Amino acid sequence: MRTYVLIATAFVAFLAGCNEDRGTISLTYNKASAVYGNIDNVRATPLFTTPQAIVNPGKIFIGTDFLLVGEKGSGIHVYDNTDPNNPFDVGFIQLPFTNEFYVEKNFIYAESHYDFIKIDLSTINSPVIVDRVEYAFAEAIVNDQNEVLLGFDFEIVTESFKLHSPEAEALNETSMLYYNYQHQLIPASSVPSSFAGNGTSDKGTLNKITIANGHAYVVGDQTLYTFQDDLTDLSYLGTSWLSSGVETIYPENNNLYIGTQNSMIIMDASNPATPQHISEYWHETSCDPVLPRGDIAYLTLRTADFSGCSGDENTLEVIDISNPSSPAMIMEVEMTSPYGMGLIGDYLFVAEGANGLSIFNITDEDNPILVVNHPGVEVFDVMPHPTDPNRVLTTGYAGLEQYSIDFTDMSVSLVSSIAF
Amino acid sequence: MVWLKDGSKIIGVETDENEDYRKIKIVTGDTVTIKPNVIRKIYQPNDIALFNRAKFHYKQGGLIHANIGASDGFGSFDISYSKRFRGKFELGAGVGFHSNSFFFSTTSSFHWVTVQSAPIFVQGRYLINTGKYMFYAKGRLGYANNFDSWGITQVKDGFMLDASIGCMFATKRRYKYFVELGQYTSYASGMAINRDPMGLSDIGFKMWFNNVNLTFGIEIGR
Repeated sequence: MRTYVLIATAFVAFLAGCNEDRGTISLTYNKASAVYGNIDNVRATPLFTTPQAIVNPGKIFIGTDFLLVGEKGSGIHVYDNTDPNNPFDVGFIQLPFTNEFYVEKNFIYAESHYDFIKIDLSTINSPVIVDRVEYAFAEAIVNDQNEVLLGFDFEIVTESFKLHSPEAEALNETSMLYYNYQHQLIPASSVPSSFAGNGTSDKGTLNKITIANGHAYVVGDQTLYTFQDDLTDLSYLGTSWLSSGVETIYPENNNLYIGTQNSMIIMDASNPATPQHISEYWHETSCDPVLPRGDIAYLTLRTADFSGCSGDENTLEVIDISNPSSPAMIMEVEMTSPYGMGLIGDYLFVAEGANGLSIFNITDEDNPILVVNHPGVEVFDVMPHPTDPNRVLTTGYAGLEQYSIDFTDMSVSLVSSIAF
Repeated sequence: MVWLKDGSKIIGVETDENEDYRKIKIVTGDTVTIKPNVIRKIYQPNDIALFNRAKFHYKQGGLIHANIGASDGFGSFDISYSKRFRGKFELGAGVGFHSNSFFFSTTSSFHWVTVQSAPIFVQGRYLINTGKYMFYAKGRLGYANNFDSWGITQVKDGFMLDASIGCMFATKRRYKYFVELGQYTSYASGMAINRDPMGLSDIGFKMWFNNVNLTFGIEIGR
């Protein structure tokens, strides 16, 4: 027996170094290089500057007096919208690294890298920072020189490297840095551009920031950040872990409806400082904005068309939320690539990206009936016009567009657009 | 050893036989007479190595092996047929289904590729001993037979090699169980779909999959 044990031991020792795959990988990818610097210099960037061209639009807000178009990574374009048929740009709010903002009354709430910022836009030519919560979303990531990680530069490269080589290990370390950075801060939306709101009770379904009951809520990749929002003061209250792949937040009554890639989470915010988890409605992995209305929540699940979500689920689900403790699906409608939603009267508008704009009749709110799909209206999100009930605003491949709706035959006609 | 159809076994030396009966002299010195129609199988000393409680190993004959294996990024199922000679050697051939994955990161994303294959192989075993716990060394050489599957758009074939040591446990039945620890190597090259938005081209790879596998299996004899 001793011989066999010796043979076995020798064999195991022989195997010890042979458990790593060996080979060569080649691919073209968007290489991220960490950029470090002085965060105070970034924060000292002048808030308002001259108008800039829209290059990479993100969040959009349509108000009665002003119109805002987010520029991913750098700020917000400000338009005077007092004449809705002729908005004109008045300047640019510089918010380095920003992806998301929300508007309540004349205040902009924006994440800017590590910080959460409240801006007074009562005078659109001279916005003022009301308050800034520094390091609201993460502690600073610093390098050996004590410089703060400010972001990443991207460059398209084609590389070949050996698996487990020093080059591959270096890539892995950078990947972890990027992962930590992305998951601690507020990630960019998976939708190219979407609406924050329209200055009325209509809110966007693809928001990561919202305001309810004097509190600001921000969803990160896995967490909910809560801030108390007084007139001149924004103060951090706490962070709640939610789930992985959190994408959107929508307040309704005293609840927060949070869309994640695997579920819809309902939080009770009747005590707004400390929202409590009520329930979680699970669904297949997908990108999923939520639009609650009364006892019903409409949920679009998308994996096609720019989704960034794996899987094969493209549906509109109708969820009974009359008892928030046990949300239950009433029905689902097969779709092609549903993005954001908007409600105008008894009609639910669902943007389907390259697959057009679908309009459902929800007179029976439990049973949406597809009325029409306009394949030429290639949009990511829909927002009712703030003052004209016969108009709808869209954002899509062609830019920000305004359509009039003929409710007799549900046809839509382009009225105006801002191309980007 | 005489194995009866009711599952019981009689161990002894056959002293007489004809069409109507078989006589077995058992260890007590008594002789048991058995009708042929209740006998399932009679094993001669050359057929099996017999141990306490009627547990045994096959010394020769045709054997079917089925086994599953796993390690980090690897899973396998194999089935093979072998012939055992002189209680020492075994030669055979088989087929399987193998799944090999490799993982790597780039600066801003994580990538994962799985190559599936249906290898065809020949295998040999050397039985180090023939005790109740039968230790052996085993080798396999085969054609990996990689195929296009989910996430793989193009793949070329390569060879697979496998060397392992194992232990087979004697049982009272036709089924024996074994456990193996082995070194597995398989080659594949090709292209895989890159599902990460930061990856702008598909992943080209030339890969030797090396795995230390733990395998559990069953041997079926006659």
